[in-house]
Amino acid sequence: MASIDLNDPAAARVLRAYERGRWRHALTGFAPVLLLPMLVLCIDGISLRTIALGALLFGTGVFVLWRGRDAARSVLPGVLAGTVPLVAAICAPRMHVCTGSSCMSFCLAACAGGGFLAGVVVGLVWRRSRRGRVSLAIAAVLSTMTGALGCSCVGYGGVLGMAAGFMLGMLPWVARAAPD
Amino acid sequence: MAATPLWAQVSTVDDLAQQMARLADGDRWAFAPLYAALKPRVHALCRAMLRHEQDAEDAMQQVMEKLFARASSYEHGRPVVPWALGIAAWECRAYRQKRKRRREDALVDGSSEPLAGDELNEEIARADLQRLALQALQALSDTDREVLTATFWDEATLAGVTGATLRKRRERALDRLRTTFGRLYGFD
Repeated sequence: MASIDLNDPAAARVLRAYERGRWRHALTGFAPVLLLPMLVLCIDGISLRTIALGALLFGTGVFVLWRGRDAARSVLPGVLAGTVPLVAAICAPRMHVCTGSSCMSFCLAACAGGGFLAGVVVGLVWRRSRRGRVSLAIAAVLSTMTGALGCSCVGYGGVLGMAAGFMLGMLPWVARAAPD
Repeated sequence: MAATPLWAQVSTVDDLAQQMARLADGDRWAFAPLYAALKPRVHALCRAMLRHEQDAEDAMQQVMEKLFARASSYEHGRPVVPWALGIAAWECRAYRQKRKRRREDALVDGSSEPLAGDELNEEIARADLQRLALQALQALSDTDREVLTATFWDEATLAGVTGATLRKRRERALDRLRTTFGRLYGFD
């Protein structure tokens, strides 16, 4: 295929303008997701871990949106699915069962259960969309990061529980797609 | 075997829309054929509007940069050429205004240079249009002529006529001037 000579300064400038436009588009498109770490910070207090996770989530999301194509289309399902364990983890500390002298909280269970549901959603959406495995991986990473924002307050155990639940929820859909 | 020229790869309107949708989606392979297909169209419009090769080149570059910077927010299915030419026309108008201001500033400074080539032709065309407009003005009634003269040559006020009335009269007089112009010369 013939191609435009990108050493031509005029064409190169136009291409740079296109890339700038894509960055701007990605930044503005993913900006609302910043509300999630802000919400967690407001509820659970300032934590370096939440700030770092929020920054990582934002950076990854913006990069994927900038790259575009199939991967970009899995950003929204990934983040939306990740809000399930996030909300579950935020609500869990408010619910606990006390029996006599001991109280049992549901934080870990909420993280693992929320992760499982998120895995089911991501797997189902991926299966229906018939996109490539990169798309699934992107959705899984973004979903886990979003969920981890809430579950990190439980500690690494919460994040691991959520990740395990996520894998478990996603596995059947991936396994069914394997022969394709 | 000769390679197919890039512009020919996106010759139809549907092709252009498809390529633009691909580019909006992040497919960088669509950049080159789209650039090759849009550049001559935008250049032709800029040349027609600015009548100056160098200015047309500069304006075209700006238009192409703006166009591709907005490619990510392109709405699928929207006709590409009207969209591109709309941006180009807007940019050329802004360019023309800038050029006019530059020329006026130069006249004030006394540093204006003699006009040449396309600029001279443009000046002659403008002078011709002015002459025709003045002739058309003669065909109007005294009142209309008085209103228009007060608007464009003297002051924007007329003795005994104020605000809304003056605006209404000016509007009507301009309409009649346009009609007369069209009747006399066959164009607006």
